[in-house]
Amino acid sequence: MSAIRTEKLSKYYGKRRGVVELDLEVKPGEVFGFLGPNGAGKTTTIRLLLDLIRPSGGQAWVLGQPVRDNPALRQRVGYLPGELNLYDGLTGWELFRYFGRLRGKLDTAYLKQLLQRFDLDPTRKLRTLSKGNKQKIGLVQAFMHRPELLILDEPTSGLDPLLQAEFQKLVQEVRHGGATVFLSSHVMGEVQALCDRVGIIREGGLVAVSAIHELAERSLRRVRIRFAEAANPKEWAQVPGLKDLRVDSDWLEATVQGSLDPLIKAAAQHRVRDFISQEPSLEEIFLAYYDGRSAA
Amino acid sequence: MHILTQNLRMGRGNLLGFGIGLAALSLVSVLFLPSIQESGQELQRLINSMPKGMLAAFGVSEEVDLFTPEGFLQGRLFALMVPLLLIIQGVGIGSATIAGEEERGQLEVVAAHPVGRTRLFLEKLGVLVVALLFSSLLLFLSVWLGLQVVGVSLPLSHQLAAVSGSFLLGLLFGGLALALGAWNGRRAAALGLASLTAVVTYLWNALAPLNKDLADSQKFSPFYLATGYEPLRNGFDWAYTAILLGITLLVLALGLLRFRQRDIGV
Repeated sequence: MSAIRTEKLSKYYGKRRGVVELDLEVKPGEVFGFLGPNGAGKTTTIRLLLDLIRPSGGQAWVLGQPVRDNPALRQRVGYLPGELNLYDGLTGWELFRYFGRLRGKLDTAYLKQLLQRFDLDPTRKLRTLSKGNKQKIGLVQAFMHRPELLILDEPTSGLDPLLQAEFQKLVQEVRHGGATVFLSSHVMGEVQALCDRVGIIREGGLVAVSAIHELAERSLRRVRIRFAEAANPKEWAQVPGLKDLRVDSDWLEATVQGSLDPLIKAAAQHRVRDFISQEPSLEEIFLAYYDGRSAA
Repeated sequence: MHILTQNLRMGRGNLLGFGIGLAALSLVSVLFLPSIQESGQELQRLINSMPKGMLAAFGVSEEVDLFTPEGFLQGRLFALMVPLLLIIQGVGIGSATIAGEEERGQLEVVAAHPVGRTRLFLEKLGVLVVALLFSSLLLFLSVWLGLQVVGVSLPLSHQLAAVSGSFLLGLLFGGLALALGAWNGRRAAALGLASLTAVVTYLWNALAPLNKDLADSQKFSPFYLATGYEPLRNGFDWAYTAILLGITLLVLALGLLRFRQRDIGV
């Protein structure tokens, strides 16, 4: 049984594309990253999985059951929307109690533990909370009933780095407890830190699914180094893994595929004034992935 | 029932304020009964001098004798004021509770819980019904109390008929707003269309009798079926009540059918 499975799942809003014939499979117990630029169809897919919107074609199963008109199934699912809108007049407690009732029961001990971990004050009205704190409320309500499957749309947006780390710990914990986590993101770094496998979605279609280490091996970085003295182009042309190399007087610019190690070892022979390494955009990762495939 | 109770809890301030306001207004009107009856003849002359069309628009038709208690309360309260207020409440709640929450993105989080579409719709309908019932109960109590105070006796069933007719109007147009919101999730459209329908059918009921050819068509207006037939004087008309309820249920059923099928929050 798959935690999530879709078969030729399609959604059009009138003529506008949502997703097109998406075949997706998430195994039970894994953390799956759903990666793609904004507008690629991530949120559409997630909303289809929760039966909030209905497919134009194809089918979706969650925890082995069809999602359509199956409210009981959502008892076993926790959901964090990408754009979180709650009842601003309620306090955190009131909201958790309401959502707890909708699910039948509230595990107060676990809830308190989550609140403590995320350093949340549940007596404050939601209206008075910052964006980051609201996001924490959203995370807590998704986790508080210990669901078998968590569907999280851009979960760490608005969280500071410390809380992102706490969130990552929580995800690892529930994963060890046997839960499956499906999360969307448009940030490569976040997905790399969390996920076992990654699916890349682009213009409504899944272009690649790969284990996270494979993706990292193919990953690209744009590097720019400034030296204390003029650089010699011939020397750098011999360093393995450099593409699009440009050397101009005292600086060097190149795209590095795979390990940065050879470049750094070579650079260490000189006095370095500045070193800038940029994470590749999703588009670049996608292209690298695509190139790698067609080459092989 | 948790969605219903939670919504009522969140709206309890409005609910209480609205109900008390409606009751106070009605009570004051009833307490004016004796003074109206004393200065009856002067008022009658004044009214005779006013244009019929204008009077009709305010719910004073020729058949209504303003100087009987039934006639006065009909003209002052049940022809326009009370139904209007209950319709405002109904349309407000009806358009906000599904479409309003949907536009603000709140409905999505609730619908992602183990809650089916039908249950969601019915509990939201429950919010509307309970709110209107609460207002109507306070209205009934204040009319009854007022009549006791001024010592005018009207059959209890007639009082009940007038109040329930007003309630049914609130339910019809509130239900229309709810159904429209459930249909496409646009609050402003639901609010506007339901209000417009209320205004048009009100004027139809009020003005049709002025034209001999149209006079009979008055009976197709919900306002006639609810309070236009003067329930305070004539008592319950069960056929009219059934028709009114039937239209309401039909409208709600259409809204529910669409709500079960459509996308939420797009």
